[in-house]
Amino acid sequence: MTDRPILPLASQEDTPGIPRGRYGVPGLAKHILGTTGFWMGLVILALIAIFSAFTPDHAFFQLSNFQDMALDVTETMVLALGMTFILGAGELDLSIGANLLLSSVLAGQTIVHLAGNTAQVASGAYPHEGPAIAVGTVVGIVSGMVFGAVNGILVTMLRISSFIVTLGTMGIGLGISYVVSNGVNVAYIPLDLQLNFGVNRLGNLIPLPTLVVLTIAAVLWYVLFATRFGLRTLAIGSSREASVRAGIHTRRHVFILFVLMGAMAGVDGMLDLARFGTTNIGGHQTDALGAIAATVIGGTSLFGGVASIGGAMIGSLLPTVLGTGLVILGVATFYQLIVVGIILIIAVYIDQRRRNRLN
Amino acid sequence: MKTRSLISQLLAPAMGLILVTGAVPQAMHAQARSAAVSSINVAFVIDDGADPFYLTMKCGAFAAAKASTVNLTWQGPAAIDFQPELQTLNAVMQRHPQGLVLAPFDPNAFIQPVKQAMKAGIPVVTVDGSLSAKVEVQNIRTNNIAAGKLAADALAKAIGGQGKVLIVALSPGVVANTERATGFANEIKAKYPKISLLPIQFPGGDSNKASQDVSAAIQAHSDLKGVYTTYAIASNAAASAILAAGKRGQIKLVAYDADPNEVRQLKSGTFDALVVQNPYQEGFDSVTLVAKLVRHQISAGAVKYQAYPTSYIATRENINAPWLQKYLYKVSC
Repeated sequence: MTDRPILPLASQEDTPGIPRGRYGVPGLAKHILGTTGFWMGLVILALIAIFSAFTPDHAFFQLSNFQDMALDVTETMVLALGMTFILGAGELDLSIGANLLLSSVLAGQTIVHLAGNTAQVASGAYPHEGPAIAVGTVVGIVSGMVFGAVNGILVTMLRISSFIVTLGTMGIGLGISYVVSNGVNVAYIPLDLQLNFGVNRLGNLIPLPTLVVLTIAAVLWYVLFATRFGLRTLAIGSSREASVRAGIHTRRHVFILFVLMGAMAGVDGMLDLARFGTTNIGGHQTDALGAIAATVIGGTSLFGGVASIGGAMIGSLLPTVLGTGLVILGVATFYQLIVVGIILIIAVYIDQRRRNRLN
Repeated sequence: MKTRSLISQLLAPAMGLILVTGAVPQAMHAQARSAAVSSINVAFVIDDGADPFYLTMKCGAFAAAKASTVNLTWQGPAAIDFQPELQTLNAVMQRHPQGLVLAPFDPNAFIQPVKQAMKAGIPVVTVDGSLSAKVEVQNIRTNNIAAGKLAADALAKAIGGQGKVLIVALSPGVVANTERATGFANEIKAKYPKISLLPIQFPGGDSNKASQDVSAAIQAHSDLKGVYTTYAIASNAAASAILAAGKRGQIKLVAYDADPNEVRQLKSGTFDALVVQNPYQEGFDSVTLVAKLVRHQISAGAVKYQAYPTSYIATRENINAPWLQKYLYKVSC
């Protein structure tokens, strides 16, 4: 019974974004060309070409710049990957910035407490650095998952809209972060974490955090595209009622999605700690909106049912490419916000038109 | 396909937008060129770019750029968040400036990029904030402890040496800000035993929260005599709270920073004294020093690490004095 496809076979050709089984190369090409993510990818390539041509000395087109941008994009991309599943199921999670912050604070404090006693740490000596960082990483990711589980329980058990729930847990998470940290960034994070991981590169080429996010993206792409779990996520987003009638355990599924999102926020908390060597109590205000914008720009639908991992990755790139290019051109960073907002609206508009045309 | 042509139609205006906005920044570069001295490229990266403090610093920086024949690039997000500032710094460094002035909004996150720049032979001077490791050539910032002392003396004088006083600071993690509170508190405890300090409030960058905190203190302590605010957002919020409570003139207000709104309110009686930091001098001195370092007119080893520009106290008595006008903050030069 549970192996019967959720959607009738006839409509699978015409609904891009719903994962199908195998199909031949022409079908694959047609599928890709039909996605918003592909066209946004073209826009980004066009931007890269323009910036490379017009920045003085072609300063945009330097390896160091691409490496910096790859690092810049990492945190948003991790969140956008998790958000793809959340939006695909027709839910929303506004609390990811607070979740990230709390994870980084808890992980940071764990590391500082375990790496040595107070005097040693203050003087920069970390006798138990390795195990401390390992335990800190686990603490950070588990904290993220617990936060996500709380979201999941509130959404599925109390049946409150995820918008409201995560708006509330965002405030709670921020408050807890301030209480735990006393409003101060965690001090004395071992610099090795930053030097050997956060700003380090594989073969002096690819930043290590970027490798982490690419690995996560590959795994999540497979889950979304080729497993029943992914298919069910989109089914739940397409039609909650039909999914329930088809026998999907929607509440358990949505709960797992929020835990997954929380895990992504936890991973991001560690990446944040590693990149900057400190927590960022005053920041992360717009992380959730940035992740949602990236996911939507990439072609995931705000209303559920259509999702794209590749699109989420491309959507994350857009603000970074734009912002970096504008700064190198010498334009004030204020313009970046305007242009990203315009492109977000354009992306949703294209998506709407494409889906209207297909119906 | 309609969608394809739609995109190509949108690409053209998008390209146009970018090219046009690319033409704008030419105005932001100082163009002074003298026949003998060739121009050098210096980048100045700040955060909180809309704040009159930094706009005044910009005036000083561009004045120095003109005087020292420097092609100055001024960049920084409007947000008070070091993450976009770090991204901006990375992007600015792609242009390979010969010198860098940075206002670091976190004492740790910028150590790596500054170290890298110094290693690459790019002299770095930091202003306003400070780094927790002394990796740059010089740090120029207000002596906040000394300025806090000046503020304490001014407020004590205004309230007649006794009563309850509230300190409003930004957040415990921002060292440059907490020093303002510490300098103030230490002076009060040392010289004014009859003044009692309420617990410090840390409302952060939220003006609503700051206003609420001051209102709450006014409600809780009917004998509150003075408020000392250490940053502009809180200063304006405290003024608004005191006005709303109808206690203007009864509760004396001393504020850090002299942006145009605060100056106006000093004259009208809402503020009783303002600490005038010297962002103009910070901008001017930093660019001048970096220019000298790039041209090898001074060696980095000969430069003293810590420099403090002079701070002033503005009161209703001296607010119109001609010498003070240059230091009051402006939104444009």
